[in-house]
Amino acid sequence: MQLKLPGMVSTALDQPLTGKTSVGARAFCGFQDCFSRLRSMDPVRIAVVGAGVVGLSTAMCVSKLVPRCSITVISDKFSPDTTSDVAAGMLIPHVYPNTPIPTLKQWFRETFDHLFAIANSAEAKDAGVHLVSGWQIFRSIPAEEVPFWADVVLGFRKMTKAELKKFPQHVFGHAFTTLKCESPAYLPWLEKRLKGSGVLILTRRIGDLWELHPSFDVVVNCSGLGSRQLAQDSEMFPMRGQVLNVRAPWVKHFIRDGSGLTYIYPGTSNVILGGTRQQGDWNLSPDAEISRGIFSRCCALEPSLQGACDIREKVGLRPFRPAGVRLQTEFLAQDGRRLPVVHHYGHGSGGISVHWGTALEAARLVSECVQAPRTPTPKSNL
Amino acid sequence: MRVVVIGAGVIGLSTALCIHERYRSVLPSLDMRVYADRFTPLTNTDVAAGLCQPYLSDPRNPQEADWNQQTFDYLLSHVHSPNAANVGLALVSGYNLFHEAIPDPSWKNTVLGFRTLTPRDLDMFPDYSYGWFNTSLIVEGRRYLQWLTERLTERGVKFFQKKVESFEEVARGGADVIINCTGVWAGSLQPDPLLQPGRGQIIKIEDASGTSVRGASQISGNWHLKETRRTKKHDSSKHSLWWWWLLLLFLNTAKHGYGETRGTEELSNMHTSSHRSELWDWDWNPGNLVSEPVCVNIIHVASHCVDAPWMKHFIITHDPEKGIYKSPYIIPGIQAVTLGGIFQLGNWSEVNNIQDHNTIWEGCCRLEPTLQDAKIVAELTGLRPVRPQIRLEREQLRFASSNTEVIHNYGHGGYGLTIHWGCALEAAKLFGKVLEERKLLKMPPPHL
Repeated sequence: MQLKLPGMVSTALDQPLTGKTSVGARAFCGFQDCFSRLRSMDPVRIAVVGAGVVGLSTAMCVSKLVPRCSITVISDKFSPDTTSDVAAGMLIPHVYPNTPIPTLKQWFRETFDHLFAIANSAEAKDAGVHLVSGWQIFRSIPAEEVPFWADVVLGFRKMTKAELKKFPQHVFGHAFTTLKCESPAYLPWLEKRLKGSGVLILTRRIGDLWELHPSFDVVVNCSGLGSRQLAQDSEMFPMRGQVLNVRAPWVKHFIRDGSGLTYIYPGTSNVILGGTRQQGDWNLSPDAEISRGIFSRCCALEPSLQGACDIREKVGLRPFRPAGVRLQTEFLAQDGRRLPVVHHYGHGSGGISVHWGTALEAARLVSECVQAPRTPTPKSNL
Repeated sequence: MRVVVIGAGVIGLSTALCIHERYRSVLPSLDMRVYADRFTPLTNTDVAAGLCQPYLSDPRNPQEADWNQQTFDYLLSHVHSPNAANVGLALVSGYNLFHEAIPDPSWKNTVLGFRTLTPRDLDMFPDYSYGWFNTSLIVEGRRYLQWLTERLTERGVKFFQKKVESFEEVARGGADVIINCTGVWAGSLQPDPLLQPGRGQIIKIEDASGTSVRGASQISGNWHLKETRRTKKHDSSKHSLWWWWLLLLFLNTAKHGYGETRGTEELSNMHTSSHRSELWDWDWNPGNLVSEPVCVNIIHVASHCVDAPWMKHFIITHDPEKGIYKSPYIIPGIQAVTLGGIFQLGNWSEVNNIQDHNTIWEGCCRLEPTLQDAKIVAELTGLRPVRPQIRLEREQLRFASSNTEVIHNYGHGGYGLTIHWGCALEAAKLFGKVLEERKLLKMPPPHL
């Protein structure tokens, strides 16, 4: 559905709309200074670029935290075609080199608590969130026997000798209960809630953040790997992951090799077997040799998988950033135009595990941006 | 040497396999047969959720604790094999919940990773204040029986569908040893005032896609199941036919209805021919399109297909005032989640009861709110063979001029799957003694 309002300035947003859209972006007449608009009583117009787990959860947090705003989520891809949809969604955090552990732990705890509440509610099935128990196993005793997140998950303890008998190649392990957050259900569930609170959803490929000016007052960039172009962040690169989705409903536990390369994650309707970490590989087509390798490694940990059926291959490009998650406000300036951008991308392998915590942080940045628009110093939260 | 096993539930078939595996090689003349009036999926084993967990209190017979341990160890050694799912085996973790602290059970070191619940665990269960978490096994009754049937068939054991009226009948038919695995109906062969039914009713929430169903092996007589495999994409025309068939069945058997319980019945009236003929007439027609044998039991209730596959843990609540199995429990299986919480001593009714249905449904939904979204695929009633302790012993009966050895193996209550292999090993030992006494063994009996 295409919406054209009177006096609309022609922008890239006027292109024909595709796929799932509800309403087009609102018009803005003339060359009014966007900062005076931010100071006025009119609702602040916020564009969230990206509709993966980071984009949608950020839109949600902004809608709750920032008063009097109108939010539009703009993305070329929605579930089930986002990177998040390929991920298994197991809540086991990854370490980001430049993020202090207390911050990481806070992000993880906020995400865990948020999802735990959903898992224990009647929404659990629709949201695709459920508890799962299992083991993380090591071939040699790790330097850190108790990870920083041990008291965030449930029932964390070391595996007993009897439990380790199942894994003759492994000498040490953790047993715990954590959450699985399945994007193919979680993202549509978030989208439904966003629409319910008046957030607009737009299907559009953004080639340049300036396309959003002057229709929007603040842009939140949750474009993941797309930030390589949109934020001109040459540090971003894909960490390719290939997985197999199989039917094996008798597998009730997750099993993760401590290296992170081999894992078995049982979900609602399938079990995800992984995986790979291929730096700088943009290839989205599954590789048969890799699939065989994954299957073989997983069967070594769980022999009953040999009876699995309906095997499907999937590939996702993790949005990897060596410096870690970028949570930072940047004030773009060009030819007298200014556009505040809150960057929120670069979650690599750990997006789902910390998404809510980082989304809350991004929403705080947006809130600060809205309240004090003249502050010239970009805020950095790296 | 002719051995007849009476009963084709988990006790009958596992005992048959255990004996055959151990003695066939040293006793070439071993001719083993299984006689039963009910085979999978119509046995009590098929109704059981299949979680390996003994009762909380120590058994009267201390040997039973050993048999539980032996069974767990045996199944655990098989759960790591590539074939585990076909056997019906899987590891499952979960929660036992109580209203107050109780001592750890004697089996805490048999199961894996036993621990008490933390306050955060208990946050999930506001009605309970104490509990345990551990990893155990499920043995899905139907698959396990199918697997046992295949193993026995491979070994040349023959199956006969018949209702045995007396040990004498079997003895006069030529049996040298009878293994009595008749479960809750043992009293019809030999009165046993210690044996009572512990009626249970369960609701199954099953995965509608990819269900694999295997037929029973060759059975002499008029009973044969087709092997079918239901693929993920249903043929919609077959699907609608299935519904018509179900509706017809439901209408035709509406006279059973809900709320009709027969209460305690005279043993001689058990499984009257009219009751059985309804089961047989409708369901084992080889031309039948229905591929899911569990539908047979759905004559008692209209059903829908959905599932609760997000449930990865078992949750068993306990109320010491009410007693075992009278408090809600949720047990995920390989393809189904079982909801239960009914235990009625002395009730022989095999008909589903609406009040029991409500008790189960309300109790389990209160425990796990997400179940409200799950729909029911089957509702089943089974009769646990309750006895103060298992009867596992030899008895010599004399008919005409010959002695017939009977090895009794029945009365496993609600823990038959949990204890079956230990009992089978013990029965095999007793069988070995019979062979020794009759000097039938050429070599020393194999190490058990």
